[in-house]
Parts: sequence; structure tokens; C-alpha cells
Amino acid sequence: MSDTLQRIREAPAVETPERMPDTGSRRRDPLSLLLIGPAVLFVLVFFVYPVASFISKAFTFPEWGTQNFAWLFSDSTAIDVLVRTLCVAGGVTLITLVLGYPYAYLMSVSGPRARAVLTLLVLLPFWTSLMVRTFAWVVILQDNGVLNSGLNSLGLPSAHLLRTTPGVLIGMCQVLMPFMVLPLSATMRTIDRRLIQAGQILGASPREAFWRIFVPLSLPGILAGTLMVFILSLGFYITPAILGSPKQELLPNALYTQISELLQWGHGAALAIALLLTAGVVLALSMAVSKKFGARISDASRLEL
Amino acid sequence: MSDKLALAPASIGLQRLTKQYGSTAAVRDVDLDIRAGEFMTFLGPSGSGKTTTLNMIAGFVEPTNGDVLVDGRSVRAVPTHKRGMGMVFQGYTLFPHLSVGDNVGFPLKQRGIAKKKRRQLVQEALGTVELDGFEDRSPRELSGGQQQRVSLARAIVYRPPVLLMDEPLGALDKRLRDALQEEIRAIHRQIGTTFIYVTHDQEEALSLSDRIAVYKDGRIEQVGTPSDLYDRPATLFVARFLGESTLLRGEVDASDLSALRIGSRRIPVTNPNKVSGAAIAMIRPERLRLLPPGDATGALEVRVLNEIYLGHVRKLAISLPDGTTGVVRESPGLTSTLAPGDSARLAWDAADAVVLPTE
Amino acid sequence: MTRRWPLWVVVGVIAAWLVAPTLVVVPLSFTGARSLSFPPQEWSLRWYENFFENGKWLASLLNSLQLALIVSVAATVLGTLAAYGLSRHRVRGAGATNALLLAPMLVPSVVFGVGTYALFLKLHLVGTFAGFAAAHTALAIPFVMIPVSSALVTFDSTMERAARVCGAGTAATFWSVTLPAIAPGVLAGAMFAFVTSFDEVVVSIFLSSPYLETLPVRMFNSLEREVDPTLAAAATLIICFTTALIAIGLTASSRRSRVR
Repeated sequence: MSDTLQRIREAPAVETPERMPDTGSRRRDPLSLLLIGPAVLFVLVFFVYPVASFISKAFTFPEWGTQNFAWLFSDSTAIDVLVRTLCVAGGVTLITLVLGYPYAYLMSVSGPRARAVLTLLVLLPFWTSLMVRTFAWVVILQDNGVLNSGLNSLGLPSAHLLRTTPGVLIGMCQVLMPFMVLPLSATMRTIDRRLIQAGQILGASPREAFWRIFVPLSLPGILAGTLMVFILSLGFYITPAILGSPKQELLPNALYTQISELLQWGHGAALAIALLLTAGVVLALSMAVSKKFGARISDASRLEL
Repeated sequence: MSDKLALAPASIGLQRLTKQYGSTAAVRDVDLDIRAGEFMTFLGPSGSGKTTTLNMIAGFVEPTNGDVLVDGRSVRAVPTHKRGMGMVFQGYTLFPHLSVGDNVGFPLKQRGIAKKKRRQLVQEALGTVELDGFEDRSPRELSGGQQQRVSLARAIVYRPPVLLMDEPLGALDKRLRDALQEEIRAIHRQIGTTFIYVTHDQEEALSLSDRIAVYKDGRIEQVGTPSDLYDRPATLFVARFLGESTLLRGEVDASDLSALRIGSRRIPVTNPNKVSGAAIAMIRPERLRLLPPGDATGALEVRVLNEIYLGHVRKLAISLPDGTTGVVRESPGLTSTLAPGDSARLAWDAADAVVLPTE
Repeated sequence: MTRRWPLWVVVGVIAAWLVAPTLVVVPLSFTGARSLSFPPQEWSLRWYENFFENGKWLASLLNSLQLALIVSVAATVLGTLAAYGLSRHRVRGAGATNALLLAPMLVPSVVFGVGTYALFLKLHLVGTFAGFAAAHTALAIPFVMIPVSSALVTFDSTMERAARVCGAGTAATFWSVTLPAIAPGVLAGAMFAFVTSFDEVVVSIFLSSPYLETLPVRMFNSLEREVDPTLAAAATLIICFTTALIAIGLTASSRRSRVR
């Protein structure tokens, strides 16, 4: 059956498309360049050039060579920073996934009004300035802050969370939740409910149906959300700077320290390259995974029952 | 009426017009002379090149080869907005953010016509399409038929020398289409501009046009008046596209072009295309007569297969001696008493049987 | 629905965790004490007074507003034209150009900040309004391109053909037909650009000088050095401002869709 489908998919169109776009028109091309040009020029000059020239310092500061990378892989602080950043990013991704999944699930099964409310709640932090949110966490997590007042009034001991890595985790999770919830709920809404019903008729309990039918079908959303949250959390500067400990820096903060306090541009640039490369590798991996699994999943969810 | 705007209708010449998209030719070597003031229709199935030709006349698409002439002058180098033609599209394409009056007045504004004059011309144009008083309405409030009429008003308000219409009635239901067809014909008589109309509906083409150009695979198969094409098609494709027919296959001897040999019989035909060899005689259903069985000289023995009652006529499907099926239309007054299963004789006038080449 | 109540409880807690923390700053802004201790024991409006009377706070607010306005205009113009250009024809390298113009959104702002700082040091643009505007505009362009491209996708280009036949040249067509049709997308882009600039912290930290600070930078410095409840007042003002902006945006877009 599948090669019939293949043959149909590959059959050339019989009729000449009458309304095909005029790809050969030479008259209008200069205009398109004129329209796109300014923006491209602007981005090249004020974004690409600064970033590129900074990154190149990894190979040129203080002199040509790979000494900065040697430092990166041998210096224990640098390695700690790298490992810690990956762990925090991984932790944030995991926590937002665990918390975000039920939230997104409820969004996808609710009526339009409830869904609108839930969407608004998830987007609200989005619109509030990052500084405001981070400041709010300072107020909550500080030693005489909201959290501890609450804990103390319940007779529990104070938690020291400000200027610690767990504190950073808490702050980052709240900020990054929308980036996990939105892709998840978008994918969940495309899952055909009848597939779950079919599973139940075939003998699966609601719990089994959920884990063995629904969750695998939500995989594209999980991949998208995980990817976004992980990559974004690699680059977080403000939240770790304010809520974190100076002795337990994350990559972006270490970058800043190297540049502004130690004037080690080369080291900073090497860290930047590490950051960009990690993000790039994760992106490539997830694209490969989604290509492999995505095709199978979208075929499966279009099952005619 | 402003003299600046009342432009005389223009003639359009298409010379060896060709458009290639990669390796496929959408339009090949089209040569056509459209006379000033005539209503010309491009008729053909989708993908046959008629809309692409129209787009080249309008200037949206650049020809790969060949030229478009307006009143004898080439317009290949002239951009669309300077060609001064009018156009009506299939999807109405009214500007949603402008009122009806502003929509119709848009081309006048582009030409720098003063506000007072604009208002007058818009009023006239809306009057022509029978939408008086609609100036302040929003396009969103109008029905499909009304939107199309506004679109037409916008196309004629500046009295273009040529009016292009790309399947304008395609999105409307049959009743509305028939009503608007009459209006379009009336407007053509009234303003006298050259109309170039694109459609795939042969009834529309037959009822509206002065002449029809039938398109097939990027070329024009035949150009002629509606009756030319209907009664004297040049090819089987044109014959089939313009209506139903009964086809008799046989041979024409070069020595006697007015007879078709089917087996041992000779049947009288007319042969304007001077076809010889293997050929087909085409007869329209309303030109065939069914007679009760009898002397079959000059006629064919057939059997009635089926009848379809259409109210004012009866259509009968008949089986021909070679096994193929034919169609006969009987109008009241000439109704025979034949029924399905009966044998009969099929007769016609020689002038109504047109010889076509086989494909 | 009743079967799902445990799920609602869980989601309710999560929702509270998403929204509530931000609201903590509001009562704090009315504290009479000099510290950030919560809950406030005394109430007063002195921190709001301090915000508006203190030269530095007020200056940073005005800087942020001015900057955001200019960036919004610049990014909207550049981004809209670019999105339009990319949508018109199969320009060669459209995919790559699109990726390039979206890049500022994807690269971590620390890297951009450091790079820009290094470049602007050489060009003497650190601590200048022009420098800020340039950097913020580059950051804001992707935020304009996304809604405008989306609006252009649903735009029926036959309308442009109709305008051209009526005699409108390319510029006249864009101005009188295309732009009105994609206006909601353009306005959304302008709003995103404004908020992006107004909220921007990291790059602004690098580009600030003691004489030119934006509001978020001032808040950041305030958190690192003096812990001052003026911060809470500033935060509350920002919350009100952005909420009002969004409320306006939502009602405007829903009113438009009702007319349709």
C-alpha cells in the first residue's frame, strides 16, 4: 500500500499551472533587494560584525593560536562552569517539562474560555519586564523574604535560597515556563481524541492509553519545548547574576567576569564559542531526532479508524 | 463626460506570443488579431494557457518570446500600471479598507482627477452597473454579485480602451451568473470598449462573444464567431468542447470530399476543412432526426438506448452501427414516438454533418 | 470536568507560581521602611516620590521611553520593508536572509552585548544614545519580521495586481493597498519592538555609562548595590504600564475582528 502512496506522491502534475509565480521576472528583482537591503545591512553591521569580531578573539587574543581552548579544557573553574551550566539548563528543562506537561494538557482539553484564561496566565510573566520578575524573586527568596516568613509562621526553619544555585533554578523555571507550555499545548491540540478512545475500546485502561498513545503523540511538542527551554537557559545572564552565587557562576556570567574583571577577552570568547556550539549541537540533534520520529508520528496520528 | 477619459477602443495584436516556465510551455506561438470594440473570449480547459495570455496582455507576466501590440504599437516594455487597461478578477479583489466609492474612484485618484469630477464619474460608473447610491457602503457588506459589479465599475470608470476579464463569474451561482452575463453584454453594447474575456464555460462563451478563441495546450485551436465554432468546428477538440455531438467514423476519398464511407455505406457530409483519409463526421444533437425503421438509403440504422426528459426537450441516446453511442435532441413538434429498445433510422441534412480529422 | 479536579488543583498551583511572584513587588512599593523586608510594617508613598524626584531614576525612565519609541519606529520600518521584500518573489537566498534577520533573537544576549561593547569602544559609541538605538534596533528587527511576515502570508497579492491595473505604481500600490491590509501585523511588530527595547537589560548594561542609563539597567545596578524600595516602585510602575499596553492591544484587535 505504501508504494502506491509513494507513486501517487511522486507523480508529476499533469496540468501546467496557470497562476505560477513569474520566477523569471528580471524587472522587479532590484526592488526586492532595495527593500531587504537596509535591514540586512543594519543587522550585518550592528550584529554580525560585533559578534564575529568578538568570537574571533578566541583565536587571536592575546596572540594567534588555540591557547584559549587549551585553557578552557584544562582550567578547573572553566570546566566547572561548563558542567554546571549544562546541569542547570538540564534541570530547568526537566522541571519545566514536568510542571508544564499537565498545564499544557489541561489547556488542550479545556473549552475555549478556560483555555484563553490559562494562556493569558502563562503569557503574563512574558510581558512583565525580566528585571521586575527577577527582583520579585529576590524579595521572595531573601533570608527575610516572603518564603521564609511563610515557612517561619508555619514553624519551619528558614531556607537560604538567595545567592544559591537552587535559587537560580527556581527563578529560571518561572521565566521559561511559557516556552515549554506553548509548544506543548499547540501539539497536544492536534492529537485526535478518537485515537485514545480507540485504545480504550481495544482494552487499554485510561492510564495505559495516556502513556502509550497520548504521550508518544505529543513527542513533537516535547521536543520543541525542550529545545527552546534548554537553549534559552544556556544563555541566561540576569537571573544567575542576581539570584546566583558568585562562586558558582554559569557560562554567561563567567563570560562577563573574564571580560570585565579579568580583561581576558580570549577566554571570554572561547566561553562564547562553547556556548554557541552547545546550542548548535543541541539544535542539530533535535532536528535529526524530530526528522526520524516526526514522520512516523504524523503518519500514525492520521490513522483512519 | 470628460474627453480626457473617453478613449477610443483599441485593437490588440498578439504576435508569436510564448511563455515558458522551465521546460513547460504555458503558451506557445499564439498569433491573434483582436479588433477594436469586439468582445473576444478565450475559451479552454484549465491549464490551456488562456489566463497566462491574459496576464501577458495585462503586463503581469513577461513573455518569453513574441509581442503584445496595442493599436499596432508594442507594449512589451510598458509596465502594467502605465498600460491603462481595465481588469476584473475572479475573486473580486476589492480593497477592503476603502468604501465602494473610494474603490471605484481609486484609478481616477491615481490619474490625478479632481475630487468633484471623481465623484461624478464614480456615480456614472455605479449607475452603469446598477448600484446607484452604494458609494458609502463597505465591500464587506455586499453580496458576491454586488462585489463583482463594483469590481466592474472600477474597471470601466476611466473608460479604458481595453477591458480584461479573468473568469469573473466563476465564483457565483448559476442564476446570478446568467443575470450578470446579460449585464456584461449590455455594458459592452453601451460603452463599446474592446472586451477580452477568459472562461472555461462554453455556454458563457457562446452567449457573450463576438468571436471565440479556443485554447488547447497553450495554442489556439480555432478562432471564429460562436456559430462558426459550433456549426463548423475545425477539430474534434473544438467540437467536443463547445457542445454535445454524435460522431460517425469512416473514410473520405480524396476524389469525393462530400461523402463519408462507413463500411459499405456512403453518407452525405459537408467538408469545409477539406479533410481526406480517415475522418469523423460530427453532427449536433438538434440536427439529427429519428425516423421509424424503413428505407435506409442516406440514413443509418440505429437503436434507441435511453431517453432523458429535460422538460422542453427529450434527449435520446442511440447506439450506432459501429457500437458507439450518439445523442439526439428532439424538441416538441418533432417528437417521435420512439422509446428505448426500438430500432430507428437516423437522418440529417448533409450541410449539418461536418467532417473533422481524427486525432 | 469533575473527574479532572485534581488536575485543576495542580494547574492552579502552577498558575499561582507563574503569576503571584511578580505581584509581590506591588505591596512592597508602598513600604515605609528603607529595606526590602516583607511584609511591610508601615505604609507610605515615599518611594514613588523618590522615583519621580530623584534625577537618576526619572532620567532613566525618560531615556528608556525615548529609546523605545525611536527603536520601535526604526525597527518597524526596516523590518516591514524587509519582510515585504522577502515575500514578493523567490529571491535567491531568501531562506538564508530570513535566518540572518532572525539571528539577533536567537544568539545569547551576553555574546551580543560583549561584542557590541568591544566594537562601540572603538567607535566611541558607548554611553551614547545613537549606540543604544543601533544595538536595540538590531535586536528588535526579528520581533517585527515575525508578525509582519505572518500577515503577508495571508495577504492576497491579487489585490496588488488590481491596484497596478488601476494605474498605481509600485510605491502607490504598497502604500494604499498592501500596508492597510497588513496594518495589524505591522502594529503588533511595532509593539513588540517597543517592549523589546524598553525591557532590554543585558546589552544595555554593557552600553551604559554613569550619564546614560536605561530603566532596567538602573534597576539592575540598584539590586547589586543599594537595596532601595524605589526599585519596587519602579517595578510596579512597569507592571502597570505593560499591562495597560497589552490591554489596549487586545481590545483594539478584538474590536477590529468584531467589525469584520
